[in-house]
Amino acid sequence: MHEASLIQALLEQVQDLARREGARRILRIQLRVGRFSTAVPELLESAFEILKQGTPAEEARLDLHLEPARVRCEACGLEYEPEDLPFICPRCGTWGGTLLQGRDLVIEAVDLEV
Amino acid sequence: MAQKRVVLEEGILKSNDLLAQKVREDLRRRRILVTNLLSSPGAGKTALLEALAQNLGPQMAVIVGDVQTRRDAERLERHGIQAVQIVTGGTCHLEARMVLRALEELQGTPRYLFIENVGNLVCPAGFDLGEQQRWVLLSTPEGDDKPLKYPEAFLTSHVLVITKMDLVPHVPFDVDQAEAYARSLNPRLRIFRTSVMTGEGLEALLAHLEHTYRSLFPDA
Repeated sequence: MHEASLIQALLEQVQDLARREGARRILRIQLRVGRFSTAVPELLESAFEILKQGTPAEEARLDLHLEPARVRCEACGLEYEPEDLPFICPRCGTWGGTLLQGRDLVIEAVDLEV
Repeated sequence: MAQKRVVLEEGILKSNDLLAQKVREDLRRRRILVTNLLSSPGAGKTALLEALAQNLGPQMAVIVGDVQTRRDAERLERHGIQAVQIVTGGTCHLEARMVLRALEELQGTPRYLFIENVGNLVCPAGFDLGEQQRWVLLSTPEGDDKPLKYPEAFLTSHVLVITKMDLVPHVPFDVDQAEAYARSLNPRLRIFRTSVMTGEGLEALLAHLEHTYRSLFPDA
């Protein structure tokens, strides 16, 4: 439900970038979305379609790069991509671990028309 | 026309994170321990703060976020503590800029500042408010599998406060199971079992606050 706030922040950030680069239009935004980032990809997409109107990103495409989670088992040290919750180590069966990756909401790259 | 690709690798919440850092540094300088409270609506955030207020009195202050009304701030003020209400008007979470604005209204220098987030276990987890520690509350009627269904709040918290322990005989809630689920997401989570009705666990929670304060501000 907070995806509109996230997209608003994204649009402000890419518009700042476009100004710095002297760009006329924003063509494409590549966003990394972690499995445990709190954001729902579909809602990010629909918020983007609405909020980009009237901005230099009006015709831009939003490409989502969905990042899987990565967990380290604290018992045997194995790093793995959990399928579901709870995290269960596929090697030693230990429950739980430390989340190494999967919380990102990161703008990876922006294509500009300059 | 020419095209240019800029590789950015920048967090989407960079502007929020910068403001959060400002809050953190400001309050650290003023030697105030800030705790961000997250939970579903009705898990007992305000009730827990009321119970802490009995002990901490004016040493504590609260910034409280709700979608509408000043009801929670009024509840807390009745205990003689300072409460600043943020009415979000619909937004499902607090952001650092709202906290920054609320801090302008905060008077004096309490030892403990609690930020009672909007009751919601999803969205608030994504926003750093400049807190030094984050507590997630889980009340026993909500069910012991809540950590698995709403993992982000548990992944990002330092402390889990299980509330309404007095209801355990009446609800299907396996406390050990809930703790195991929560620890499976976050092995470093500190867990307290509490009830504001019986007083269970409140002393331990107060001791934890005091300990955290002293480790953060050893010269205070």
